[in-house]
Amino acid sequence: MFWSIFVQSSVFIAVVVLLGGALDWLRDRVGRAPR
Amino acid sequence: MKIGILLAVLAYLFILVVGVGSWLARREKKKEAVDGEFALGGRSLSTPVVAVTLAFSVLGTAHILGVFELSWTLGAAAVWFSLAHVILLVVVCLSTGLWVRRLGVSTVPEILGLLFGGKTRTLVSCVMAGVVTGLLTLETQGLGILTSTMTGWPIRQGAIVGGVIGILYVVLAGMKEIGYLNVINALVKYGGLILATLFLAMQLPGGDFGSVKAFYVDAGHPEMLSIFGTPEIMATFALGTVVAVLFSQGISQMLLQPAMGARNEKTIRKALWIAAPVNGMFGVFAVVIGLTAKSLPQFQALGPKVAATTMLITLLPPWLAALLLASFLTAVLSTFAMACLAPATLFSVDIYKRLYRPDAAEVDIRRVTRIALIVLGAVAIGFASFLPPILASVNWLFSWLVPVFWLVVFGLFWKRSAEVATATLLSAWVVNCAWSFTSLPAMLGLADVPNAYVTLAVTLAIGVAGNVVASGEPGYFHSAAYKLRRTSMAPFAG
Repeated sequence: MFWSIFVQSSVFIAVVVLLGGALDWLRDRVGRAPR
Repeated sequence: MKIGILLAVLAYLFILVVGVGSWLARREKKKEAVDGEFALGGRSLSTPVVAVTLAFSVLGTAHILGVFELSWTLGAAAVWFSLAHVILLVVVCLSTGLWVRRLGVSTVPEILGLLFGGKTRTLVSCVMAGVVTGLLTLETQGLGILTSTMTGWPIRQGAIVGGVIGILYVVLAGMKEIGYLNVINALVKYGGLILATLFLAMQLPGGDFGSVKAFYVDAGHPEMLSIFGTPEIMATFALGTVVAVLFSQGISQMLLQPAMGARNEKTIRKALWIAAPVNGMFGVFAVVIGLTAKSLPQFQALGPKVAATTMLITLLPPWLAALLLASFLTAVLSTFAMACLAPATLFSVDIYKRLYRPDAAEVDIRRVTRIALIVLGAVAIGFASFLPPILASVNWLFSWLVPVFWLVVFGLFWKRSAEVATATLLSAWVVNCAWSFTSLPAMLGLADVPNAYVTLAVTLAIGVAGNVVASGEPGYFHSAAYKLRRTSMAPFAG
């Protein structure tokens, strides 16, 4: 039970953080982020 | 819990807080005071300090007592309270946190001033200070309730002692003190929680959580073991929490102040990789503890409010119960300290300095901030002793900041109109109050719709329509004023 909740939550956190990181990288790459 | 163990926990907290605070205060005294030294750590906070402070500023009473209670009815899906904060931290570390650092502001209402003028700044400053002070009262209650349920001490005494340590957590050296203490206490927080979960499993039949799983499966509720629960829970609780947390805390002074104090934007970006898991995984342990308490008949009979804490005290060895109490108290203290510092900063920067003493030096600002946070902490302690139903008003409190979030987004990237901003703020706030204090939701047949959804809908409708129709200046990031500001800040930018 513990590991099932642990793994589900970890996967969600990893996906959200990686997705955010990827979007941020993409935003920088296309050079549209205000500086 | 034996009184000796309780005193040992309090002594640990007191010595650590006063020790670190005094050391930092002495060190800062020797250096020349720079702007924002007290409230923003001199804008020199490193990645670990920013990460842990961001994670722990929004990890308090609700993450512990709230999740214990929610898991009783929602099952593992209660972890969405934590996961909503992960999404929040992604948005803060990659968007709003970067914007406040880039603009070099000391308060969130300062941005509103740049975008829409001084009146909007004052209005938002007063409302934001009120909202964060409401949360401060909730955390003070949490200090009392946690101490009471885990030691048998009266709630009032727990709130007073906890509140005093909470004020000491910030009053000696400000933001740097909170940051350093958070980094040190991170080990206590997670160490206590992991060991407690491990020992809890060992006390259960079979030495693991198999019996807990069997309880929910036998009861015909296997969905309570999945974080995705049921579609209804995902549509109402999970999504509702994400909306409420993201659009209110995402622009709150309480969470953005550590980002304002970061060394540079890169520091904030890197902080995400630590802050998101540190905050998010706390909920996993809290949910497992809550689910376990319900599965054991002797604790189930106590009800959702006290079952989990009573179970921990009963089943864990005294030394571990003490470590866990320290873990929970440090979690609440870190939130209490930021909830104290944020409105105190709003007062000293947005009200005192801007309206009364424009020439005030850092030394004056530090003194006023200190006085303000002592007064706020004392008021919260006094107020919390009466145990008003603050938790029930969190939804209403959070929703006040939803229009602020969107006005900042519109104003930075799209269009700036002071009239539209005022209309959006006032409409959203009036509807938020009507939704909580009148029979309007029932009359419309929308009694189950939370305040955050309604204020979001009003904000987007008035804000978007108003900006489409009304004339206004272009988004601040596209303006000449921004370019000028960037040029003047260049020597200090990271």
